[in-house]
Amino acid sequence: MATTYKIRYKNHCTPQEKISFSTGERWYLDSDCGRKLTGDSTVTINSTYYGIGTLSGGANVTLESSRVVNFAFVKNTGSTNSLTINIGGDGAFITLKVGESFAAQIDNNAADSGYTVRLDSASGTDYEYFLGDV
Amino acid sequence: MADGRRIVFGSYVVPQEGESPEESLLSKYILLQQDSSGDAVAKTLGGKSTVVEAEIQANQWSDTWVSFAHSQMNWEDWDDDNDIYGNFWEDSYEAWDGLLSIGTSAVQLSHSTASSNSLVIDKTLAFVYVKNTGDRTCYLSCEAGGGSGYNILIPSGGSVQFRGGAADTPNCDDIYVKTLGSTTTIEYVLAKSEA
Repeated sequence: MATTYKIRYKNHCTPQEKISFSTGERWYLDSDCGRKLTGDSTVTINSTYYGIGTLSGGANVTLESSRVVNFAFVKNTGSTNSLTINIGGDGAFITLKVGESFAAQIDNNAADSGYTVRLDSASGTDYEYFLGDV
Repeated sequence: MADGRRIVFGSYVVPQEGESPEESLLSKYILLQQDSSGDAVAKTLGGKSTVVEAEIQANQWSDTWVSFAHSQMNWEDWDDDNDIYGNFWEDSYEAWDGLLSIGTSAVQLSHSTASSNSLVIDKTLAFVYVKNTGDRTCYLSCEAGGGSGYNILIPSGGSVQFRGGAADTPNCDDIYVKTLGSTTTIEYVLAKSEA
């Protein structure tokens, strides 16, 4: 039985710009940005919660029976419809389209206490989640 | 100016478990096999997507839609003379070294209604990326006025990214960042979806 747990997570993005030519178009690394962007962090946790589920249209669920957690990963694993993440029932309403995921340390108004993670879907979708509790 | 823009983005998560060694050596970690309730994990997690060309403006609200500039950018490329949100000296709110200093007073990166003191003025956001480049934890709010919405924690070296939203729910157009103690720095991408 493991005695310690940690989560290493990265969020990365690559802004690109399109240049059109008479013969077609090509995508390049965005010249306003000039590089790929990434952040890398590790959080040490005590408990982990993994699961998958399905939301029917108009339904919502607060993950792990409204457990307060400090890290949240959520992925929209459906095939058509969007998913919305609502941290703590207020604040962020983050939309995940099909195949997209969100990974971040979460909190209750900068109190270093963690928060709940609620998912909503207007038209219904499947989801996967991984939560960590400090 | 670009004829179009898009942003490829993704997240990657590696859950790990470790054992305290018998000898006084550093712990060794392996991929997490089971969560705390015994459900199998045993894999890395992640997702990838693209904010496509139809969702993001080719002509961004200012050259400061990213907090930094390309290393090969020329001085004469700073040519947006719009008052407040332009990038002339007297108009720019941008941190010129590409890093924005954040302290205990909330810094409003953007919001969904017109204002004279936010970086993005009255524009719906297509995509938000914020990285904490300093050594102090910062907190991000997506709630109008910041309020009690500082629900995303960005540790030193970490980043967060998500789609923006329309003026109604879901709404991630009101972006505020602050720390609880001394200052840190951030870099950001604030890409608008409307002209």
